[in-house]
Amino acid sequence: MIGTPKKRLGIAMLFLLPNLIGFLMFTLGPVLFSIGMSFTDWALTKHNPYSDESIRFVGIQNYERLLVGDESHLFWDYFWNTVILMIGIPIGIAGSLGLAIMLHAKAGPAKPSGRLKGALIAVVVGAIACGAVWLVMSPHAAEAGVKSTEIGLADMDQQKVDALRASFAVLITAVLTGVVAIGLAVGQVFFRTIFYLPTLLAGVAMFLLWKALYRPQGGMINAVLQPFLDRLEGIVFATPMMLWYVLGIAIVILGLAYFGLSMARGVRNLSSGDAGPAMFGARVILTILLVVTLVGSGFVATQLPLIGLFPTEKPAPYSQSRAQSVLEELPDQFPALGDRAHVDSALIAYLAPRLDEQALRTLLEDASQLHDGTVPEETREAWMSLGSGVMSEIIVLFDKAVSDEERAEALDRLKIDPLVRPALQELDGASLREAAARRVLVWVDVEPLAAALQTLVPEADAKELNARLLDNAIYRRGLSAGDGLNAPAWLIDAAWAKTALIVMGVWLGVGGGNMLLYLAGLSNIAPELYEAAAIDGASGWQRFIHVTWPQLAPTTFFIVIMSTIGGLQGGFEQALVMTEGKADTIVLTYYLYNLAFTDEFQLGLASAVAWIMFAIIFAMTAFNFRYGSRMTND
Amino acid sequence: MRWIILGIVGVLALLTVVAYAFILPDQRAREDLILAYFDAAKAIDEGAEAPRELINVLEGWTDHSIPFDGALTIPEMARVASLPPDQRRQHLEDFRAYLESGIGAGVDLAVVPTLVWSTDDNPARRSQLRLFRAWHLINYAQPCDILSDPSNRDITKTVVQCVAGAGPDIIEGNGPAELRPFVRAGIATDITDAALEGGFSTDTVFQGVTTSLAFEGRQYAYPCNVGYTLLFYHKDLFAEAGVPEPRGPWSTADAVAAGKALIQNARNNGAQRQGLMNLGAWDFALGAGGRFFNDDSTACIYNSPETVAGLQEMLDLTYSTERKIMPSPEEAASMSTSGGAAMNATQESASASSLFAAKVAAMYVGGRWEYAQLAARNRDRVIDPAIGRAIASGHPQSDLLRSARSRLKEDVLLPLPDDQYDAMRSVLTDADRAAMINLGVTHVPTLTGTPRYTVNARFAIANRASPNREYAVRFLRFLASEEYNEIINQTFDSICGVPAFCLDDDGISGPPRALPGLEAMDSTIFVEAVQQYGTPDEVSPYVGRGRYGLLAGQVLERLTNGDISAQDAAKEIEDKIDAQMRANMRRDAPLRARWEAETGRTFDPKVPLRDQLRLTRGAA
Repeated sequence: MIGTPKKRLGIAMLFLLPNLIGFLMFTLGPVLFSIGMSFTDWALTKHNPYSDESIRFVGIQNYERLLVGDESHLFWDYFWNTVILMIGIPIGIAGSLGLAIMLHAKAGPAKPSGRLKGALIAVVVGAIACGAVWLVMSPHAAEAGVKSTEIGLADMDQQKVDALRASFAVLITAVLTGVVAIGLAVGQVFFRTIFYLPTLLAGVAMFLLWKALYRPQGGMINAVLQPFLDRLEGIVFATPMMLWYVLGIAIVILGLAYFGLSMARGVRNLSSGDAGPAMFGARVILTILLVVTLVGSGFVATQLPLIGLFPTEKPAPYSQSRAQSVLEELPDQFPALGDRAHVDSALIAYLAPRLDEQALRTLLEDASQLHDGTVPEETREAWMSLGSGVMSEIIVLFDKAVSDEERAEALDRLKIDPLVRPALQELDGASLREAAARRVLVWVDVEPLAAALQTLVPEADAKELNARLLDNAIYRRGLSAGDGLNAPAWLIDAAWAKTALIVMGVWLGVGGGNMLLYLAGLSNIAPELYEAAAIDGASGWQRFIHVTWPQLAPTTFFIVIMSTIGGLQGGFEQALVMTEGKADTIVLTYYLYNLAFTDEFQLGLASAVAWIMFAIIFAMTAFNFRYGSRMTND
Repeated sequence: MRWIILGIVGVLALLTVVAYAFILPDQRAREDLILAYFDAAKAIDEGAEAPRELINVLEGWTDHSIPFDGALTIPEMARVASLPPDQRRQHLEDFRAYLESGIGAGVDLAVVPTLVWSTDDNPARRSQLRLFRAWHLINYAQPCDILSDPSNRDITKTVVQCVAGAGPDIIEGNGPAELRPFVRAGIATDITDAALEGGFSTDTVFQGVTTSLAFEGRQYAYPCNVGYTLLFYHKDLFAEAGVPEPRGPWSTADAVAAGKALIQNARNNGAQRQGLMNLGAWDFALGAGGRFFNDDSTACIYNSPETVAGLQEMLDLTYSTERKIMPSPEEAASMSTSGGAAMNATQESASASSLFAAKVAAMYVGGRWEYAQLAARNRDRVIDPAIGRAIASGHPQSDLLRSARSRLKEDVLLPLPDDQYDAMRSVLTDADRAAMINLGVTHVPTLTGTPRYTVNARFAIANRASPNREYAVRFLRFLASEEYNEIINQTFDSICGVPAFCLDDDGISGPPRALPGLEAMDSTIFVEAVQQYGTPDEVSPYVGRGRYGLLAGQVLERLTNGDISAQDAAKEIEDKIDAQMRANMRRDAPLRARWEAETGRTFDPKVPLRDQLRLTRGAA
């Protein structure tokens, strides 16, 4: 020991001084200063060396404004956005753990010759796969010289577009198989590096890349998703509606039953001492995740046939008052309706808010002709069938079908009512547009429509009408009669934007620092524990549950704490770069930045946001320490 | 090993010393300052009036009893000013030696003030800086240097820097939303009196931009240029579809008819095309007569029949089967990525303007500044290959063509001399002309048929805390000069802010000669739009421009996505802005007192301002 304790402390402080000065000046000082700021009305544009106004102490007014006052609607909206974006955290942690376990396992041949052999096999398989992809995707469909009809590619030959697509697919295949080949040759280190790459690359570049991937049309994600949805649509279309209900309900029941069984077993194990709180906690989390997935899937299955009935909210913008103004013109514009106008009020009142002007006019025109008795019986029948929603589907398909053959194929595919088919085959452009207007009928429920149609066509038998509508399967047809199952407009649509950010966050987080922490944690688990478990005959799952998971509890605890803090502070860059704060993706940090550095430069209010965030983070961390740390001590 | 490391360290040290001694000194900036004397000589040679002191300095080079190396007369200096940089460098060095000798001029270049202007760096801006240096010499007989500072243009950074006393001398901003923070922070110099005296008051600019320059009756800024957008269209697409080109103001009903025909014509040819792009809900409401505030800005009146009709029109043109000519946000996002990452399309589809350039959209709302992009496309795809073919086939004017080609490659904004321009035109075939962008420009269609443009100025203000404030104010005076405004028009940097300098007998003033296909960029409609139909961006002292823009923008985004109706959007926007105004007044006693004084009513925080003022819908 050199010198007295006092002297030693002095030397230590001397070494610490640079850091301490930095910490005091640039961290602690500003932090304490911001507490004071949060109790003032300091706005940089009003209170600065060039202004006469002095900063006022406003007490807790800023906090009040944010929590219950005029800023509260924004604050709470953005707070919930922040919380929702944190949904990805547990998924990311689970993914990191899974990845770490895979990368920790000693897989593949150990000898260099074995590795080389594996890599060579992967190269050969890759080459074959590339050739197969090229054969499948190579541009053989389009004739030479035919221009692409796709938006943005109009000045390119379709063959060239196809060739680019095929080349891209081959490139992806080659990269994937190349990664496997190099991984086999080099070993786990390579895979660890590959999976850690997103962390090194994370930032604006990654966000822009994901933004491109999320493009609604032409983006790679939807390019993969849409064919799948089209197929699903076809399956739904061809499957009796009842089957979907049964399937959905069965899945929900299965999920709930599993929850009950799993919880009962967990409680039993806990009370018998076979498992500690950590095990029980893990079981609860995993069970909830699985059950939520199952119940959600079941719910989706039951709703799937109905999706087409309410495919979009697009009719909403067409105002009721606009429709009303059309209705007011009725007597003049459609004299044939005469005093029967009131008879159709049920139908009109029901449909009016859902129609645009043109659609409403077309409908009324048809209706008035029906009352005239000038319309042939076949047309009337056809009109009724059209109203069942079949027409809408034809429009959707006809929009895509160019040639007569394609149209005929579309009609075949739809199994169109023979009564309607001749009329449809004669459709020219104008009729198609008129028919398009009738698409809206798919949004109506069966009963009111049946009642309305009966009013329009009194001679129709109500029972038969109902049966006919159901036979024509308004529900089933409705699925694709509207917009069908379209891939989401990820970053545009407020309903999907947060999901898109969560998915991206999970991808960025899975292979990052958490994976490294888990890898470090896994390497610290004593092999003897696994050996002992193996001797006791434990399966792989049991070894994970009874050895790995409890041993990793401190690591998990640390990761949960840090991820929670990071989650509450995060979302700023994503909102700024990917959505510019649109589609309801503004989070608290983005809000704080806007308050402090745009328009009014309200530093006081922004500081209050920061301290409320601190309080929330502190409370959640304290909760985690209070209850979460118990699990680490099992 | 030790010697190797020492050797590496030694080499690095030597390189550092060399860099400091020979490369880093501010040679280039001072060279610009010397060049200003030559530019001033050129102006004097062309007849500009200059103070006697400056002429003495220039003439002192040759007239002085002590001979200086390479001394030139004023006409000779004028010729040097037009030489390429490498050919004029020695002359500049000679003149520097003369200036630094202190004999004829006594100019100490080391103490010349240097203004920092927070603006972007581009060829047009560099020519403006060069012009200012010469202008300052001619007007004040003193050198004054100026530099652009492109990395500190962001308003957030600038405000914080200025408050901390480290801001630029000249601050650039856009529109009233950005003027207000600078004024309220006390950063902007009040130039009302100086402007009146120096002839650059708000009376000299387009009335539509006054809110970008003045705040509560005092002037703080002067326009660098005026920003607004008109409707661009492809003349050849109109001709191909048999649709007559729009002439003069037109309505959205006319635009729908044209757009539908253009879309259908594209479909007939197996292509997809958008009728109209880049016209937002905000513009639709404005075009229909909607307004955010009443006349004295004491209440929000956005929820009016005019606004609703305008917003509804936008929905119709975006979604209705019969009238759709515009892409929905989803479709637009599919075609472009604002980050420039066009992953699945040609590079041109990275933005709405490049979609227009690629003829994916037949009509597009854009600004005159987009000339550079469109011209570069015509140059790269048509003109340059045509010149190359002509030279390869031994065209008799190959030398002229080569000069034209290299000038265009250097910068598409550089005007070509007449002989080069004519030679370039002569090699374009009919096929070339058909392949290039043939641009038409007209008014943006509105529901009422009467155009209405929100006009903002890109303005400059003098930093109140700048040690060079006096020079910065002179710079604002420079912005009102004919030379500056001509250069703005000439470089297609939108339109200059001074109506007196906007037009000449041939159209837009200045000697621009747009490349073939883009002649419409010189159309007088640009001036007509701002002069006859320009309207200032709306501001109210009771709510920040940025805040009400944010509140409205969030709702209009949902409207544009088709999630809410026009009525609901107008109502929600008015409710939100009204609530914000009342909240601001509730907290701010002076603001409340001002409102009460202005309206003659007692403020009630619980009642919407429109109701307190008994304003009816649609009548302010």
